[in-house]
Amino acid sequence: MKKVIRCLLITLLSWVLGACKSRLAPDAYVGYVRNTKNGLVRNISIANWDYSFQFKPVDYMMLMENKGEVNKDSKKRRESLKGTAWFNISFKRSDGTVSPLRYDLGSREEYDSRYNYFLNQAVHTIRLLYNNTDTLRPIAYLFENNFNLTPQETMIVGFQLPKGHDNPENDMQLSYDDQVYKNGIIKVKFKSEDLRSIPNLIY
Amino acid sequence: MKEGRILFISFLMCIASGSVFYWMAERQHKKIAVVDAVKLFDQFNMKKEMEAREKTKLELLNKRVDSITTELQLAKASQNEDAIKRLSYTYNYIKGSMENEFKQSNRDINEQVWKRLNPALDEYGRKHNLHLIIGANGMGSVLYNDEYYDLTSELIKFVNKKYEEGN
Repeated sequence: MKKVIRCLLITLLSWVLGACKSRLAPDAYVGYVRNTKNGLVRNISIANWDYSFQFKPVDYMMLMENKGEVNKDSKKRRESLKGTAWFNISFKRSDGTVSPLRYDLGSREEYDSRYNYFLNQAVHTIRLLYNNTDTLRPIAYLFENNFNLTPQETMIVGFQLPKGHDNPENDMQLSYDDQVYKNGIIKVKFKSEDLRSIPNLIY
Repeated sequence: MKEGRILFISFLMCIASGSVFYWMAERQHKKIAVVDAVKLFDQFNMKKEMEAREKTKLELLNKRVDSITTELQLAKASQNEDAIKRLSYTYNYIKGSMENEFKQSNRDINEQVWKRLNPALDEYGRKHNLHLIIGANGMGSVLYNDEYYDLTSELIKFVNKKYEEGN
């Protein structure tokens, strides 16, 4: 009987410890989200192209908008982002020598059409499969204009989660169909255990 | 007599354990694999999804061809020469576009799928210490292989998992 009680206590304790999330200060929190070991950034290389998919928790977004600090409007901003999931999709040549928009161009028109594609069309090629059941289409999309200052391009994309989900805590599979550089459909999976173990931010 | 029996049993056990070790070593040193390239290509999820995407485009063009064909038949029935000329031109143009689109999409799918399969095959080979992966494609390059060397289904699972999870 004692053994059974001990086993139950150990199970309960480990469950409680598992349920308690660690708490991190803003700098450490940003570092955690960007660390590839924590499963919130996925990097993929295909034929001399590097793709990076960064999941951005609401607190991370809020910190990025406030230069890494928490202020009096932070909680309000956090509330406004409830029920959404945000990602950065970045891509660059592996050697980093040329901006993807300028890569292998034949004319100025080609550059314009490529730029226009990323501004207006690329959004239709992005999907999020949430909890292996719901296929979500973006509710917000922005192609970052870096004025060719860096050899990397970034698309910011947001999704509305199904009703009843304030934060993404189930498996998510983000897919992007690269029709410009002909690298096919690229999928990355963000696992529920990684999403559930994101620490809390110290306010 | 008793000693002889013990000796005989020990001898049998030596042979049995030797055979087991030999079999295990043989399994570990398997360096060659045969893969049905056509099956691998066809069952790669990305290929299926890209085909489905292209199918919608082609179906749209096909519908246009169908409607022009109907109009052309009507024009022929009413012997309207002007309409026949105009519609024949449009029909040929759209039919040509459709064929070009079909060829181009096939080329694109082939190119993009192999761009993804080749590094995945490399990775699989390296992970499993294979020295050689032979692609059987029904064109006579592999005339026979037993199931032991056939890793097609394992590879299909591997490439699809890699594709779906982005590892």
